[in-house]
Amino acid sequence: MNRKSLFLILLILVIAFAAFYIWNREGGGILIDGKEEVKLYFSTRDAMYLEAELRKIDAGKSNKYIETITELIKGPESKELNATIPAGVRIRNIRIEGKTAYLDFNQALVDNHWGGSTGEIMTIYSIVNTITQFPEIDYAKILVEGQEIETLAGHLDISVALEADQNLIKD
Amino acid sequence: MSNSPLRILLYIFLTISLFLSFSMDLKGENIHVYINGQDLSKELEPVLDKAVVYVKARELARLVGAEINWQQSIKTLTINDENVLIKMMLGNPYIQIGNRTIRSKGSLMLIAGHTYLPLEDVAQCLGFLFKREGNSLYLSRPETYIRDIRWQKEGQVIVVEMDNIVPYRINNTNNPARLELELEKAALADDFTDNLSNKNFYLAVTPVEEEARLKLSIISQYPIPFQGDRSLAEDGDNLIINFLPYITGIKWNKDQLEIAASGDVDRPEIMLLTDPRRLVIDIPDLMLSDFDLELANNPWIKDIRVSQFSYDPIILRIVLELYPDRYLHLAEDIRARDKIVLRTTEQTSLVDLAFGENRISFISDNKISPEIFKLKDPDRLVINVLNASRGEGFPDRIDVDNKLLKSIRTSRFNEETIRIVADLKEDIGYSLQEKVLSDGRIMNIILFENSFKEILINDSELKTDLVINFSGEVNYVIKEGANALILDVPGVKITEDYKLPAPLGAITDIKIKASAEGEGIRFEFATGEYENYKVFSSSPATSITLSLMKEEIRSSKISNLIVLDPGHGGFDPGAVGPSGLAEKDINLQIALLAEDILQREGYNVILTRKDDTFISLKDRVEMANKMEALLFVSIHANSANSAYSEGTETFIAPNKVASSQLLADSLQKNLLKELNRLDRGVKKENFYVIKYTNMPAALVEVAFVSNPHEESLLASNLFKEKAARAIAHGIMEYLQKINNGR
Repeated sequence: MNRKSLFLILLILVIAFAAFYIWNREGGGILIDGKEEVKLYFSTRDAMYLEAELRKIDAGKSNKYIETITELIKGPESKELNATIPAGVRIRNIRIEGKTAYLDFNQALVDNHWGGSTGEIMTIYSIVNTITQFPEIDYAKILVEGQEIETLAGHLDISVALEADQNLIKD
Repeated sequence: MSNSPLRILLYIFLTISLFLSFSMDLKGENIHVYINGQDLSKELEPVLDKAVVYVKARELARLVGAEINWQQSIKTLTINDENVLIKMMLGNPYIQIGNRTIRSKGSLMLIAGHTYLPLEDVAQCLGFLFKREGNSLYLSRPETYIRDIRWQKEGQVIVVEMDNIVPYRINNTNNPARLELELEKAALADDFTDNLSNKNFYLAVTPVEEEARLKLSIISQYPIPFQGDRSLAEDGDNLIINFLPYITGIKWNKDQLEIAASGDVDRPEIMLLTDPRRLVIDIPDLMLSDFDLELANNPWIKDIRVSQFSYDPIILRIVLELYPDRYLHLAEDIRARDKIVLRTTEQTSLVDLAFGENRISFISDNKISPEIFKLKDPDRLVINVLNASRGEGFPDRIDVDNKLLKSIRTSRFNEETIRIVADLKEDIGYSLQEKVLSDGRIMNIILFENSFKEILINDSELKTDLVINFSGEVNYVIKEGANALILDVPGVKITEDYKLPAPLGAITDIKIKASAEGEGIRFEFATGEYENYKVFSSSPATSITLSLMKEEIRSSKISNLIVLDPGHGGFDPGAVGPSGLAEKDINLQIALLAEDILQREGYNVILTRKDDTFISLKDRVEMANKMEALLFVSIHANSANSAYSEGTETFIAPNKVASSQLLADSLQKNLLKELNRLDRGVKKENFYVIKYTNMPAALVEVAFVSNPHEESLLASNLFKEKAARAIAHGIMEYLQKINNGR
């Protein structure tokens, strides 16, 4: 081994160490596979509570709020839980203003809903509790076709932004 | 080796790796810093140097919400929190806090261009509690201090006095004798006093300092009568835990047994059983506790047993073992609500049941205090005589068929009661008269006649209300005279002991006299200025309600109005069951039935819709608010995305709790009793119609139309009638409670 190659090896080592050091300092937050684990709240079978199901979303893809609600719409994987969003529902847009998320759904959320106070609570709070899991969001306001609505199924006042309801969560 | 570039490079490399390995150590992979229970090591990047833990200054300031400023020229870091100003110089162990200076174990350091400060000393300067366990460091800053925990209302309420309310919860311990209350960001004040522990209860305080959490455990030898989070309430900055009352004593006092409680108790259920002869007394919502027992020597009770018969619902059971032929009955005339009194009853024989044009009579051996009440549909009068037997001339049935009576029936109702039922042709008042016969026996006479009971008068800004009560249903005529309203009620007698209220508002004088048209009463209400009068009762009625309006107002603006709100309607079917039953129809049918029951009881009822039309939530609310309704009950059938969901629930709005809670509890209780469905409880939700109405309001969900079994129940008329009855009774029970000032 000549001196030149030893010099090169050492140089590479120095650069590698330095690079590792810098990367290690500045890094963090990026998960190994680029995915983030989120909680999705679904209804228990007796519709007494909401229970969280963990699911990985692709954080890099579009936006994490849309990704999360899209997963919520798909329904639970567990047979013990029930879907909270009626068939045909699409999330049109999610806009964040301050600490409030404005979630805009299509008309199917109202038209295809099964009704009932309990049914309505489960649907609304599965959305609200799911979106407010992100620490930067405290309130959720639900819109349909871009418009504010008085109520989804004739009971809950959703003309105002809602906070998460911890009483509904079963751990 | 010569002094070559390689050698220099080798030195550089060794120095860097030394520095790197040192700083890798400094990075302190194993050090964890928790602020208020949250691991923030990632943000703070703690490092360890000479046993002192350092964290990134800028991150710490950000996480505790303090302002931070670095002055490069004087190498000084300033941290400005709400209350304190902290200054530190690079490499200098002194920390300046306001006007004071303390010496720190470490000093401000610069690592890779970032300022790091010694955590423990700075945290304490910022008012944090600090705790270190090996490589874990815990910082917590309480937001409230508990000053005192004490009893109130004779052991029915615990008050946790604190500076301000912080998040709290009741832990589920699965041990009914242990109540665990957790308070976040709380600590005990220096002068904290435990005024809770006593012979029945023990308070244990467990601070979880790492998370600034305080756990208050209340331990008793008996199950503690709290009902989860429902027991908790806020009172200003204090937290209140409401308990159910508990038994304090059982005492034999002359000829009666007195059961005392620490608070108001409901009417018990009493059963007489034999072999051995014993009286079983079930008292609802009363808890077992140590109690004083004084039975002395008495010829009635042989033995006594007290137990907590059930926890859900809570029932205290007292079993009295009686001597042969002995019996005790519940005294109905006790005013004190925290006491149950049982009186001795002599066994009596009932003989010679007879009837007249407007009376029933029978003879008893001694004075009896029968329980008498009326039932409707069909109209009948029930007389229960306790501890009695039927003797001569007391047949099972007498067919009467006169002007008032259809028949009289008698039966042994249960072990201790003889029941006499008079089938009436109309709803009529009654009175009980007793005559002592020459042989000392008692002639009991039930006299059927309507009598005038009382006049209630109420005055408000808009109107003067009059309520005239009778013992039974009466027909009446109202005429407007010169400066007077005349009310003629035929066929009614004036009892001797009636009282008239003082005139009030638009009423300037009240007179009663025998009616001009023969038998009956004439009421003369002298009137001052008023616009018009309105009558709210149907005819016949047991209660005549009329209002003198002081000014022209909307005709429906009346103070004792009940608004029933059948949910959905028109193009909005509400929920639809698996076999196609629409919620809107169920709601309307139940509401109409409930309206009927309430109106027959003399209440004014308005429905937000009387047919299949769509009315917006806003219009429903406006209707109730404009009419200044007394209360609002929305009627619904439930649904969920699951055939398994079942049961009955009632909702109130979180912004209006006091009276609405009472109303909802009463509705839920009656619905459960009538319908016997799963109890989903009384819940708080921001439902539009109950949130924006100005009066006490509740929304009932009778049962699930999405559940096939409950859908079939909701389709049946019997079930809807039961639901309507439960709603009407719930409302009436609530109004009684309110009127009794409870």
